[in-house]
Amino acid sequence: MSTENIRALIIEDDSSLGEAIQEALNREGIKAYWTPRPEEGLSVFSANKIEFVIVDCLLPQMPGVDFVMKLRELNPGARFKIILVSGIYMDKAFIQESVKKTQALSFLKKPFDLEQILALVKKDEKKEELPARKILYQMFSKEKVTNRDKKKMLESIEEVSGFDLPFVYSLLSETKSSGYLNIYSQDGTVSGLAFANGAIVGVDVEDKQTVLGELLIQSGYVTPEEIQNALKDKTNRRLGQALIQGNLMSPHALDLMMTEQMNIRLSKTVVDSQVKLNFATSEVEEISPSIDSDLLLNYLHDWIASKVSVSWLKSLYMMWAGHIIIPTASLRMDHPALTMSLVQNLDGLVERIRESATLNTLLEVKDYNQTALYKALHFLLTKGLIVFSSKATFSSEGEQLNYLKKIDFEIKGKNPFEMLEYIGVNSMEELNSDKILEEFLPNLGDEPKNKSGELSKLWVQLHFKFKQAVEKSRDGNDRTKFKKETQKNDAEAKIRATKLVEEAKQELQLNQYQKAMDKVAVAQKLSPQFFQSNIYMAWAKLGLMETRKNYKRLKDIEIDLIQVPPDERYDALYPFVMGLYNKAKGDLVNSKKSFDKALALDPGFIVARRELSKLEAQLKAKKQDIFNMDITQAVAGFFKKSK
Amino acid sequence: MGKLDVKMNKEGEKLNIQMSGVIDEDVDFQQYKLVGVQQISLDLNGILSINSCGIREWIKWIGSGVAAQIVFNNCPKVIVDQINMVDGFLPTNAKVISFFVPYYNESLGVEKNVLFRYGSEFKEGSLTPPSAVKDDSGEVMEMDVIESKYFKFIKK
Repeated sequence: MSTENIRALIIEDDSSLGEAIQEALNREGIKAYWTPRPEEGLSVFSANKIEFVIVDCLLPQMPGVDFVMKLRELNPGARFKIILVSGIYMDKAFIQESVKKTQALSFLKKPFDLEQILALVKKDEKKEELPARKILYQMFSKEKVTNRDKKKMLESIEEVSGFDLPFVYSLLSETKSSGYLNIYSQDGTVSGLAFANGAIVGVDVEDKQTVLGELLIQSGYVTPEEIQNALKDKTNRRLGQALIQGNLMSPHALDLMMTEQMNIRLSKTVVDSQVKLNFATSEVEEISPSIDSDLLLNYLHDWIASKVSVSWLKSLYMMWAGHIIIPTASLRMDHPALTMSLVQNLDGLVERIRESATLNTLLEVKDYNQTALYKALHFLLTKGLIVFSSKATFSSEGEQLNYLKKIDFEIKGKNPFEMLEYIGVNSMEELNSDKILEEFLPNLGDEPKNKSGELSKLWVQLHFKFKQAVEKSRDGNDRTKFKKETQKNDAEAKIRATKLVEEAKQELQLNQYQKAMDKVAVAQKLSPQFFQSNIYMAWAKLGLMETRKNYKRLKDIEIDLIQVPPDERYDALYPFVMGLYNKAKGDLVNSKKSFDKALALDPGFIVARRELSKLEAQLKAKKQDIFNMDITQAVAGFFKKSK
Repeated sequence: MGKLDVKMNKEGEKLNIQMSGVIDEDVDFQQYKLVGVQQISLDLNGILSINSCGIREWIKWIGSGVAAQIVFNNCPKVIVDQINMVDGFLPTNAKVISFFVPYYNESLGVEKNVLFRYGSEFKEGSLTPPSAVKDDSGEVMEMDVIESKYFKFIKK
């Protein structure tokens, strides 16, 4: 952190000492104000954001201790640190009493070395070297993360987004934590997770809706009729127990489904709203079912793909756009994370990461789907497989210029609050404007040497625009007005998006795929976090490509499908669209299974029934083909290596 | 046996409650009635942890003692954190009389909890921490909490 934004006030009637301290601090880049008069000191304090007050205990108009008390009285919410100095009062009891009364950081006896004051200011500054959230996401760069590190890390964060939670869960899991993580929402509800040696053994959310029945049917363990019969059980047994005792399923199968239900509950915590966290280490019993680190890998992938919005990720990664991506020791080529769809979708991603890529350079890769790229990197970061270099690096002026142009384009037409949202400021309640600039501006890179070039002009312009946005956003009334307007606009957009998707749904049932796709595209633009729309987008795309296999299109559809949230997958629609997807891939057997699942969940799903009939006819024809073909052809077919 | 140990002792109009252990989903606060007394004094020194289910149970339970004056004694950090973050954890008829503040010596990795008492180290809206806290070897320790967060309840 630079010292540029630290401000200090010196109240010292000895002008030579006052000026000497001021100069010494200024030399270190600290803005220091000196005055011999306490009254003037009070005005300077209220006009500037002072963090350090250096006060002589014996001032002509007022004792230094009284000055500090008055300062606290007049500025009740202000946070600042006191350093007392005196050449007269050397009595131990006085020193103790005045330090206690003023809550001073230190008491320096005159004559003192100026280095002592600098050391005190810098010691404090060191503690806030990096923004808390940046430290959180760099936790995996430490060789060993102790319980204390985790505890202090989570304590230092005032608030996080629900979208930050997969990272927090992963961190606690990877570092083999035991204890309780409590999550406090803005609406006053409290949720919690219990960790036992890194495994999640308990998930407590307010919404305890169960989808166990749907899960069991969809997984093929039981039929809808068996569920109905078990639910009629009058002995007050739970559904799972009733099914096990009726010999309809094994305890192991129930454990699997209970784990899946934990996943769904966890996924409900991954939302776009601010939460507070508290983690207390404690002995927690290791019980079953639980989610261990290996299983969590799948869920993390799922949540990042389907719940975390790409616009939020873009804001988060603003702070690392020009930083080199560093693979950690855990990133082995056989790591299971590398087989997951998000990573697989981006050819050569890991190789590029190993060759010192930055997010900026990866965004330039033509074949990369931008959504998949942000999500894949976030997945790898969440799993502790990559970290970012501590400093932004642009390989050339051209790269820096392209990056600045991109930012300039993306903030066009945005108001000050939208600009702050763009750079990842989610909570406007506790807006520390100076800190925001301090965190964000270094990401634009160093000031270009050639002052007359395009790059320099743009660099200066962007600095000015963001400083102005921060300045304008200080007004509390405007902030409230903007917040209300945003909420209203978001709600309206969501209603319009829902209506469009409803219309698209009707059109899909009538095979009007292009019309439906256009509508879903508009809905997604209106409400980017309306993730349910992805399933309809996938259906429309599959409808349009029915006649021929298209590898690129299929990859695109895969991205749509993995973005369907886990809690949206337990009705008939998801297995139905998966059936279409499998069919498009040529996997007719799994396609049939998917259609069967869809019909098990909703026997009245006409379109699924129609597709199943078509598929069965196709499978039958394929079987007959074998009997009609030449014997050598048929035998060769049996032994042909499957691709 | 539950993970929470509760000892209750009634002295006339005053009910003294001493708690130790874990407050979680297994706790049954229903058995500890808070009615029929004018004062309730809770000693929370032995509380080790509290999870989200425990927090909900606590709010329901402590809210049932609405007719009494409640005081919280010897609150450990886990309890102070909840007081700061959860509305209703410290009801309006309750007051913190003493709580622990963690101190830490980074060079030795030593932790120590220092008791802050009402009227001595804190009172409504103000805090007067001890001028120096030292560990057993005589080294000065630093307060190990984020002051603006940890002492929030004092300013309420």
